[in-house]
Amino acid sequence: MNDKYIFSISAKNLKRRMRRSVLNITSIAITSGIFLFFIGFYRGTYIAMMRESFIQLKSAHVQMHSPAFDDKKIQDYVAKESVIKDYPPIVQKILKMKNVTGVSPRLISAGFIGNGREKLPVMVTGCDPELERNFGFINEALKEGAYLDASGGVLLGRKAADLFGFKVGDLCYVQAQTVHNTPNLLILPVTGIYETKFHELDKNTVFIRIDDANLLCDTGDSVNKIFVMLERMNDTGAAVSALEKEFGDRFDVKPWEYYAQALLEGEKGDGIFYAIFLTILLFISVTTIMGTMYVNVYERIREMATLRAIGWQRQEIFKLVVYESLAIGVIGSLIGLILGGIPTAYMTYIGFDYSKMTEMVSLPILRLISRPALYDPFLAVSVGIVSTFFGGLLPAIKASKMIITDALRVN
Amino acid sequence: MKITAKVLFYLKLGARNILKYKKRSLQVGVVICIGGFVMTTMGGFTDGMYDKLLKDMFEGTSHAKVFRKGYYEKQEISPLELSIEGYRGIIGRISSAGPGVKISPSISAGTVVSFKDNSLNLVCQGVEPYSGKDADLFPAYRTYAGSVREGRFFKNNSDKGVLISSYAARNLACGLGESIILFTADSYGSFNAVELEVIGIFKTGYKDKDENVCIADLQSVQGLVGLENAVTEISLYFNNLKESESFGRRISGIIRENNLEYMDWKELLGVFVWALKIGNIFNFIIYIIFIIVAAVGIMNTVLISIMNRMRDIGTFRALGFTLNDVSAMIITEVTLLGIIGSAIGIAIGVGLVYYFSVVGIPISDEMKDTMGSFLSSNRIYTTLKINFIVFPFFVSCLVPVLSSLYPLSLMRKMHIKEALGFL
Amino acid sequence: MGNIKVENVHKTYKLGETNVHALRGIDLKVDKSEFIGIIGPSGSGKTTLLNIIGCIDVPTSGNITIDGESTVNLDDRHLTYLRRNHIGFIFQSFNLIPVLDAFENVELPLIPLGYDGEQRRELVNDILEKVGILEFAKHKPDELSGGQRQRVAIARALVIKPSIVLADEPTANLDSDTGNKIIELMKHMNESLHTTFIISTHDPRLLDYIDKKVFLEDGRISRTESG
Repeated sequence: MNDKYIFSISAKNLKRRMRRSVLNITSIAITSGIFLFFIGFYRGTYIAMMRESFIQLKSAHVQMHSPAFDDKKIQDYVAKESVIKDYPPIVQKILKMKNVTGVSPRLISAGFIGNGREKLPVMVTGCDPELERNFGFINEALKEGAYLDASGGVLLGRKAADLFGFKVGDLCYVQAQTVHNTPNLLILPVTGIYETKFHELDKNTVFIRIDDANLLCDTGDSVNKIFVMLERMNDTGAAVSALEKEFGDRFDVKPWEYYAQALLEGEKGDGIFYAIFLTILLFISVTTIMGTMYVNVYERIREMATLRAIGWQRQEIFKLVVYESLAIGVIGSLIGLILGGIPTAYMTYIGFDYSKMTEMVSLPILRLISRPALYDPFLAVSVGIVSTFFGGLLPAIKASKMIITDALRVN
Repeated sequence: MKITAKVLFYLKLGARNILKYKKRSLQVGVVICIGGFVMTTMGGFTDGMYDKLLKDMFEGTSHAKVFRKGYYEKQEISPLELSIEGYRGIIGRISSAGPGVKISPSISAGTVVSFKDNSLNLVCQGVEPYSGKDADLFPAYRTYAGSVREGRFFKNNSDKGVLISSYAARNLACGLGESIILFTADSYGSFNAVELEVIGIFKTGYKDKDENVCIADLQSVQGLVGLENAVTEISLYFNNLKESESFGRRISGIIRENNLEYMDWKELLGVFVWALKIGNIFNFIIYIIFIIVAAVGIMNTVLISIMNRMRDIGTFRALGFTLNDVSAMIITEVTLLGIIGSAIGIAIGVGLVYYFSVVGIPISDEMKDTMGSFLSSNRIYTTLKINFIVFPFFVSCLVPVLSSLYPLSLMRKMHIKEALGFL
Repeated sequence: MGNIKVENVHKTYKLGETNVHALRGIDLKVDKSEFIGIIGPSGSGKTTLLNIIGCIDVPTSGNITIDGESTVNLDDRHLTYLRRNHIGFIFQSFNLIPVLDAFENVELPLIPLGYDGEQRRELVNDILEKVGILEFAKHKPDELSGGQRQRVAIARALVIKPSIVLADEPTANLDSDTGNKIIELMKHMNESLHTTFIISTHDPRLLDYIDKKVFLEDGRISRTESG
């Protein structure tokens, strides 16, 4: 007896108890559909969106700074021990390294911007416009005005600009403490306004030229951090090793994960939640199938005994039952692809704007999106099929082990 | 009498059937148990935590605030030209409109605080922390007053000085009793400074308070910014939070006449309320998915159960039980399963939520920092509310009953003779 | 109650795609307290006729009257009422509820009638004693033999003191000795309680016990014998 023949009988048997089959198919369809959605959603929102945004907008792939520099002590960002002098050759060396796509030396200090009367606390970020242009996000996020050029100026986020009513060309007071702990002030024209939707950048960060920053902080020609961007997230480990080898005696080299603890914790926590939720759904589906198959076997035990009596082998009876549950799995999973595919498509192409959350949490969680992979449908279908296989397994074993004469007597 | 006998009979029959068809009962029971557990724990871990966070936040904030129109959107830049002038008169009128309401005026200004060679950017809040005839401490300042580590909080509204956080004290390398200088641009556009004695050092645990704020007496800050008869906000606190929403309407005249703006707690907590809403929608979606999958599973099991007991059902009908009687028997059995399953699931869920409401869930420093305005310690706690027991119980009992409706409708369509096995 | 008239009753039902004419014009009169047998081979229409008389099924055409009242146009509620109050059933497979013991199975028909606990106890014990099964009152069906189960079924049918008892092949699942005893019991109940008994059977051994024999063949009455 070939398997194709047995499978065709099993598939026909589904029609005998149509309602039951429909309910089981529905259960598997929903479970595999949700599975399909959640793997794409998790990959998209947590791995792609959050990590990529974090690296793009906050940490870059790797950061280097002097050992005296402490990220937690904002007031000491600009201190004699925490700045890096003679940074240009360092930058050039890093640019030549493998997988490095951009380097941004920056002088970051806590300060204020204002209009002469009111002021807003910000992180004043001095950067090299040419290096910065290819480095991060500013170019793409620029909405009004122009990028920083040789003449200087200040780039503000939309939210900061709106607070003061700044337009391109308006004069902006930029205030910070010098390295000698005295206040200093520069009045710079607003050259451009950017919008990233990340609150921390759009409200509490401004960009000026490094020379202006050095003038403001009286640090000569220094920076306090060197940001490094790589081709891919996975290159981080190798890049950190290479940088430590080259500069480890002078600087601390930190990967993005160091800065993204909270993000990774949240990712893990939510991942565990989704895993538990999906496991529970699977459990319910498997037990539903198992219950159904047990009853199907019980109702048809005389029939199966007859088949055994006329010459069917035990494994053929086993296959008859298992194939029936697999048929449910196949049909259910295929329907599940549609059920899960629709919200996945929506979240992939439209998504959900979550940027308001950045007002509350200083992580760039800008959008909830899905990023499906080609193999996701195969995974979802596999989950549906494997779970129905396990659902049908025990009843199939029971059916194959029946004693023919006892089963023929069942009323 | 008739109905009681019937109901008792249905209960007896239902209980016996549950015990006889153990596998099926277990299948339905386990699904309901998991359902009850999931709803209770999700409620406790999400709503419960949000509620606790909200409650904690209210300890340190106001139920409503009054600003000059346009001030709130720009409050981070402390626009002093948008201050409330003649605030004492306005407070008097608000007080008349709501005798039980606690009122406290304050003024905020961005300052550079310095001590010897060290300086720090801080928002300085000039406050009158005691309100009302009885001079009670305004609830928004309880957080500060309760977290003073050295020195004291203000004794009364005439007490002068400044309170700084331990973070600020460390950065400025100054201590109790020393004088610090607060330096800012005043409302005339020129720089001004005031020297104040540090009368207390606090540590609230909230990052945004500890790293960004210092508290001084109202008069000193008014002098610093050159606004002797003005404040930037008037905070209100009610006996019942809900009053905050209607009080705004009650004082709408005062607000309009003085070009002011009234914001209740929902508007003040803007993003948090939005995040709560999103969280609730997410929870709701999870519940719905779960209910659908569970309902399909239960429906399937009940359908099988009915079909396999068709002969019994036919016998009951032949003996004179109506369709409604037989339906009631099945619904009783399913409800009994629902009650037992959900009781067990909810009990386990309640145990878990209660455990974490006492012990708390540890979070890392990094996580705490990213949520600086909302978390004051390295542990977050769940809370147990009666909602998280009643609602899941009700739903967990209702879902199996609703799941049975379709199988019951099929049963009702069957002729007695078909049920008995006759063609 | 107890007088039954069957007038030109036809019954056709669908089996897959085929129409099956189970009854083709049955005319029958049953008097009160009669002990009647409907005799015929498998497929002759015995069960169908019994189901129609017992208000479990409705004829395609024709009329059934019980004590002068036609049952064919009654709605489900009235038919249920009729069954509840006046008709007892004895099935071939006993149809006892497996989770209830003998006492509870016999008590079943009294519940919709609204008897209180004390009344039910009295009636059930009385009938259990009459059918000779009182000592097994607390036993569940799977703890009883075939004959004992059928006795329980008889007790259940008689506990409401019905006017009519319909027994569909009551001895088919019993050995001949037990079967004879059961028929004797039913005969005894018929004589002592004056209940009309209509029994369907294809077992020729039971013919001696039956007063009036109605022979069915292919949905028609082929002949009737009395005595």
